[in-house]
Amino acid sequence: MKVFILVDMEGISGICLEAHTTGGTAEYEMARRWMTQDVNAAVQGALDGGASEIVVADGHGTNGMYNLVYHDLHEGASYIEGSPRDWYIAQLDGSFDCMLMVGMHAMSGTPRAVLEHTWSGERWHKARLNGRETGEIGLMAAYAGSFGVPVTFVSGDLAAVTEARQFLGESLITACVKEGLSRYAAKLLPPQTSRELIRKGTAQAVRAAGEAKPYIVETPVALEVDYVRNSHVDVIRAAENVEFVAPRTVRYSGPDVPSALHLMR
Amino acid sequence: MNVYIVTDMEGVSGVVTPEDVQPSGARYAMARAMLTAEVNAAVRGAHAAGASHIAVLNGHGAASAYNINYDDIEPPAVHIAGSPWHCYLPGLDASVDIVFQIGAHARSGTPGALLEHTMSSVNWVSCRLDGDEIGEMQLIAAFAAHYGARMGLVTGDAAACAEAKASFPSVLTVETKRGLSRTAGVLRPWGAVFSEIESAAEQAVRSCERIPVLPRRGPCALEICFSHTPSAGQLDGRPGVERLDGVTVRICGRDIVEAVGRLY
Repeated sequence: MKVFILVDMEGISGICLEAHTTGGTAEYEMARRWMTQDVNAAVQGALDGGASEIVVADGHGTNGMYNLVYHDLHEGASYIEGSPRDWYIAQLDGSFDCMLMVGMHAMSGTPRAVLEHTWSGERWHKARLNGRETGEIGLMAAYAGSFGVPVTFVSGDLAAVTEARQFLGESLITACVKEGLSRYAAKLLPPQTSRELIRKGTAQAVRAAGEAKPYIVETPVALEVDYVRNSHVDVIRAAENVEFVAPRTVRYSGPDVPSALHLMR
Repeated sequence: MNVYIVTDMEGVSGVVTPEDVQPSGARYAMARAMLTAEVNAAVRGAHAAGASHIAVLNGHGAASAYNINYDDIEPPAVHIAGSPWHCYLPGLDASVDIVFQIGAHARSGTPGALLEHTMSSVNWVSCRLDGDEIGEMQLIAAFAAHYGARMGLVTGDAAACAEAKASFPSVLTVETKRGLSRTAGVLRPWGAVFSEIESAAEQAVRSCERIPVLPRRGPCALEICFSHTPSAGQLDGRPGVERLDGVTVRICGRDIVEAVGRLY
């Protein structure tokens, strides 16, 4: 059983401040340890559930995409760190049996969602995949789905796991580690409780991976991104399958999800 | 049994100066550790007495209202951290049976009280509720009364404990230190404080049914005197708000939650 774990930072246990996810602050240094502990709980859970090979991709853009604390990592997995790396999760392919998502956040604009955004908090206002407003959970699940890989577990705040179930089905196994009161305030579960939820959930998710269905979207694929400012659009080069469809809106298209997502900026 | 714990930092063991409760201060890390340890002691006591749900509010505004050490918090408490909030005391509602205040301080102007103030050391001079001079603990108590919850425990310096006893005679208190001035005090060794907080929390939850609920307020008026005119001016034009003079406003509401809500 081969398991891919995508980890982002905003949905990690204990995190609710911008400073937690921005490099160079004392809060960030604490938060990356929390991220490491959530990942370790997921790796242990995946092993408990029968995983034979685990690859973890650090998916948070801060600090050159190297957020996990190397010397504290669980021995049972390998870890993708640093950037650039071809594409965000280019190392995911059809050889994996499932993908687990740890530390996810809700899509841009979701009320009472901790640090909500889609892809870029500064530049992206909203994104639509084949016309449906979609956040990173849906985008990455569709990417994995294009290789036939199902997403079987999502951890994050209440808004993120609610969104995940809307996209991936009510039977999705989730770990809700906090509940947002605003973008920067949350009701936090205690750390041991939180990591126990992640460990148990990932174990169950890996055990059930055989029955899970990948998230498949129709092809060809169109991803429309509404940017915040003209300056964010001005730097995007016109190219094949990159269309400027409205002021501040760019459409990236392709025959399948990876070819459209590889174009997005 | 549902317990709601409001935390502040000025009344925590070891804290004596304003720098101690600001992230830039050399002793801030120590103060955070003390706060977390005192909260954990209260959580242990409440849990031992059978509390089924315990929510802890990070009520101290510095560090974006995230002052607890996340790594060290003990289950089963959930912690409300970060800011902004949509109201004064998020998580306090009719499901709460008993309220604790950990790290409380005396109201603005109290002689010999460590780091005394009401709401803001910089912007607020004083506050009256229906004519009575009040501080933060009376405001929190008014919210508790509104939702039918008891005031179970207050910890802080000697002045904070005395103020709590005077306002809510049935409340238990644990004295963490005694002020010699606003920024000097006699500190107690911290080990003693933890065990006292733990047993007081346990006792408060066990005796909850026997603690009277304070009278619930109907329509009320909050009168706030600010240090400078801009703070008062920010509230101009809000419903229920009347400017009494350059620095004083009266805020009316059909109940305490509405009146205080008009500040947010």
